Amino acid sequence: MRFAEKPIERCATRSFALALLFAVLAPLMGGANAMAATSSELETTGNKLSHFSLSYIVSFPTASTADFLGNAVSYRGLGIEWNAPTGLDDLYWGFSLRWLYFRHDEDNESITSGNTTVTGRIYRSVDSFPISLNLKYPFKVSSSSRVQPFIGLGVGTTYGRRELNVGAYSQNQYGWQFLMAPEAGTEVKFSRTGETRGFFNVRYDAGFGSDAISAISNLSLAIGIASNFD
Amino acid sequence: MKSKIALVLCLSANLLLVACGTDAPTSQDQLDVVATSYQPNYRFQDAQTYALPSQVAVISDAGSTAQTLDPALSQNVLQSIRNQLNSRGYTEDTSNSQSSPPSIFVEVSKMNTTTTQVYYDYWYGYYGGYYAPYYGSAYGVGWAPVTVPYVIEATVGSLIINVTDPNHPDQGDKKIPSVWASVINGVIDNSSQADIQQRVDAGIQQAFAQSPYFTRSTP
Repeated sequence: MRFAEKPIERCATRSFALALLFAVLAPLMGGANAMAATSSELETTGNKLSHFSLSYIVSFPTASTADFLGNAVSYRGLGIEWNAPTGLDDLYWGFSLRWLYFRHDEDNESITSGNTTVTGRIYRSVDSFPISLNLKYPFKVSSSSRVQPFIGLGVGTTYGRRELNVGAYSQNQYGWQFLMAPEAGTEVKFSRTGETRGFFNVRYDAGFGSDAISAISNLSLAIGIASNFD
Repeated sequence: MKSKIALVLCLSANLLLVACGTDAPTSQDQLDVVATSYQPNYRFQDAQTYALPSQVAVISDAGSTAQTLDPALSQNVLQSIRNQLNSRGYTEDTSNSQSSPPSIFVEVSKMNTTTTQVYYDYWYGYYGGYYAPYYGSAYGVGWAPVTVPYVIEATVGSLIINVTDPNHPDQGDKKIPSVWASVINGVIDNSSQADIQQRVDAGIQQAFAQSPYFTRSTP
């Protein structure tokens, strides 16, 4: 059990993550603008257009991630997603990028390993950046329905950073791992055209640990806004 | 249209606020760490007496001006350790008897350097005479049996307590074995004297609290 002393720079990591997300979001805002200009055309095409979404995510760590974090719930999560029709029935394909941040700290916690015990402020955190390609299948509903349930499956990779701090010492793991992410949810149209929709989904991120970093797995609830653009 | 962009921007701003928040320690004592390690085969309940040094040693870089710890703080540190050992059933031996050493010796040092190798140089200066009446100067400090990770990376201001057993010397390596060691990391810094004293007391108390085997009673 050896730790390297280093300055605590979590804020820098978080700022970078947010900057990255907003760098991606900026052009999508432009997309929203273009989308609105063609809103009259959307009335006849419903939701069968490319669309992007922005979501707020609450996550519950599972498996070894829960063991590490003491089941701490994450209230810091952002997601963006882009989807487009595949041309096969109602199937959509898309791209998802998320950032989840878990943390758990104890002011006076002890860790024992063999004949050594260490006590101090113990701070555990996990930054997770799941990136996935996904397929989504919206269930058929009547044209007048404002509710549109869907299921999906994403496959991709997660870049993770797992940190254990004891006082001024820290021990880090970071790296890439394989990701599978099944999900289910529903969209709710804000208007008859369905140009802008609210949505809610439940997704399970199953991480597969690598030599560099232990598996990062979680169950997440997302709420957000989806908008068409073309 | 504008309302839609405003909605998205508003949501984004909210998310930013949610994501912000400090995780950094908010006070110096949140960086304090207490590490202890012990020799698993040692029977702590068999020890009866202990000896404490007259002052806390200050370990500095080789060649630097010799430094001493504030005498009042030094005595407070020793008294705090004394209280812990007494409460665990041990009796202080102040006889300095040349014929029979106490069951355990307690070495107390403050690190004024991160170069821990100098610890061994200082050992003879501060503690060599502690053991010399029994074993001569050929014997060295016995860190080896006890692994305390923070000894390797102890920061300036750390308090190190090393307990040795002079009655069971390692004749082969000519070492007095260490049976328990603690590093209370970085507690003696530039904070106020009252703050340092409070953190030192809390650190020593924690070191013994997380070592329930260190008692004359059968655990």
